[in-house]
Amino acid sequence: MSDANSKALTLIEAHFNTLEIGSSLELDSIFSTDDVREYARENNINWPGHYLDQNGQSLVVPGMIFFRPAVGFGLGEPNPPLARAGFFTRTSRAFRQPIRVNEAVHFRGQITDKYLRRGYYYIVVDWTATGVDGVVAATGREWHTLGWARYPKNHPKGG
Amino acid sequence: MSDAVNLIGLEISRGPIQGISTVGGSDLVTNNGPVVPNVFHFAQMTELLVGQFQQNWFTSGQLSVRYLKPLQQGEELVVKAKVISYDHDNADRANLSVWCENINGELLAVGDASCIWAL
Repeated sequence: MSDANSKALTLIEAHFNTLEIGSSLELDSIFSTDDVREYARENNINWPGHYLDQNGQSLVVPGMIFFRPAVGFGLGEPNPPLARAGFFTRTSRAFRQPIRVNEAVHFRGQITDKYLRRGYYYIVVDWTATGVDGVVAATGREWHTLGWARYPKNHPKGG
Repeated sequence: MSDAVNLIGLEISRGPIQGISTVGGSDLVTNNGPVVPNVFHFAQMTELLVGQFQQNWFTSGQLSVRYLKPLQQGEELVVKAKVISYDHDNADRANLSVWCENINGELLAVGDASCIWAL
């Protein structure tokens, strides 16, 4: 295992050990026109395109709603191995009402599981996005690795 | 909605679309080189499903995805979906299989989606 990988795993494991199942966080966010336009450009999405409400108002692209809270629980800390944030390995999302551009959104996330599997540290987080009217706009369960570093397959923690 | 009865077996697709996405400007790298974040796959699946279900997707869309294999930077992604059934409790809700392939037909992500079909 390379020194860089070992160092990253040490940091990731230390962070993993601080995370507790059941712990939660809340944050408020607004998706600006520039935010959505940039996401659409990066992901080759035709926006606003179909992403308009019945009054022609621009909507936030649904997949983007859970992009920002994905840096919660320390995944966005300026610690390089963690700042890489790992990757979604699985996601399950339900959309209940549209979120308009420049509207405030309240997020609540709660860790529902954490584990080491096949060499990666994982967390599972349930998220709720609530719109300005207090109505839940979207819910999601996200399976996410902590960083990209993993134990090799021949390591006791790599299987 | 009676029209939904005719939907079973309907196949829709999008792509190929070149994957050049980064997350916040950061390249993600595996042993095989730079890869496209999975956010891209979800975005493309959403684009396909919003195109199909329009406004209904924002109020009743559901999508669950498992990511199996990364898309390499510059590689092309194809998203496909097929209507497989209607919800037992709500005949207006269509259930779909959704998946992503690269240009070689390798499966990169698989999932299930559902949405109210009736306008």
